Amino acid sequence: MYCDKVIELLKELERSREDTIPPYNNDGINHVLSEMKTLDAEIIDLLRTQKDNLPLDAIRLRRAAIERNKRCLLTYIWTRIQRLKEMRWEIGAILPSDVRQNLSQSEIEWFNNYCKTLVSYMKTIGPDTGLNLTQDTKPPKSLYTEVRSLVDAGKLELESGEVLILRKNSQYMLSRSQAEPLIRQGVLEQVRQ
Amino acid sequence: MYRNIKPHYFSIDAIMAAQEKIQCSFIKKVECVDFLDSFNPEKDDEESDPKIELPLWMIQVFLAGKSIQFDMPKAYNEIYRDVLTADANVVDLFKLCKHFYLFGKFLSQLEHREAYEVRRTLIQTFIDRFKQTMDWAQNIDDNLPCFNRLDCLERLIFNDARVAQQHLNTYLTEGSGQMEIAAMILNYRKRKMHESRVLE
Repeated sequence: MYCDKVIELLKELERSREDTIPPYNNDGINHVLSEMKTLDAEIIDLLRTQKDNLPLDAIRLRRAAIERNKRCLLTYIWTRIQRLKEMRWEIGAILPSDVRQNLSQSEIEWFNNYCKTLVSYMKTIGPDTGLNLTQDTKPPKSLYTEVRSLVDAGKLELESGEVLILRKNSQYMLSRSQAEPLIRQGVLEQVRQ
Repeated sequence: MYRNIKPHYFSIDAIMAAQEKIQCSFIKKVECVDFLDSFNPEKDDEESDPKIELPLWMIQVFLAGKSIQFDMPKAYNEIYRDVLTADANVVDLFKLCKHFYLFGKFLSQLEHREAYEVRRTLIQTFIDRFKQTMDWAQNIDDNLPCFNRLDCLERLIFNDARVAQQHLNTYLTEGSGQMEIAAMILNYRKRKMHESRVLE
């Protein structure tokens, strides 16, 4: 029956967890595209051969199938882009390698463009240096915060120019703006008061 | 993540709901569709009434040409409507129909004599079950058995309610302003750990 292939594609996407991106299924997409072309050719063929007695239902059904295939393919791409967009905010501009492997060439291009657009937008906010929107997602209570390092992360250059060496299980007092990205990445942990 | 309970053009749930099958029979002969050839009614034979299961979006096409008639699927027929009216809370909606509300909504928009009743039952069912869903989300720790009986729409509401409840609990016990590792990275790590354990 029509449109079975594209439903499989969407099921594959639905089955995967919401915070992951499954491999881009190039073969599946090409298969659906060729199905659409066949349907289109069939419609034209019907119009040509049966001019006096048009099988309206058959033509309508094929048209609906083409439209539906189109909708499903766009949904496939859109859903993946939404997940990718969320990753930009959650993980940051650098994606883990196994996520990157699952993307198609144009998705990687889109992601780079999205990063660029976001950065240039954040630069335009405020009078001079701009505003980092990914920072302070929760209202801060103090400028400095006590953190504990969870791994041997190595050197960290502070805003003042000093260099700090992060060792596992030792505690530091850092400025909030510097600590937050590292906490989100799981390098540091905030010491609970 | 972009959350919209209403079905939109890119909603996977809406697409899946329109893929649910309905039993139907043809009134007119449909030509030039290969997979339907064996199901077309014979002109002389009034007795035979071959039925075929087609997805909802195809039904919509044929209804526009007035060449098909269909019965309400099992979950929406008179018997089940009575069951749902009697006590909606005991029904396992997920087993009955995965996209119960969405599929029902699409069905009730089609031309059918029972459409109005279906619409009314849907709304009443949702109202009846909502309190229970909310109760489960807020109070039970191990809620997998209850969760399995919810329909897709209710699952979305349930998950949101649970996250909200967890946020409230952390706020009450630990106060606000605590910075935490991003949920996505945490899940990513758990997955990695699991994968490496499986490999060992």
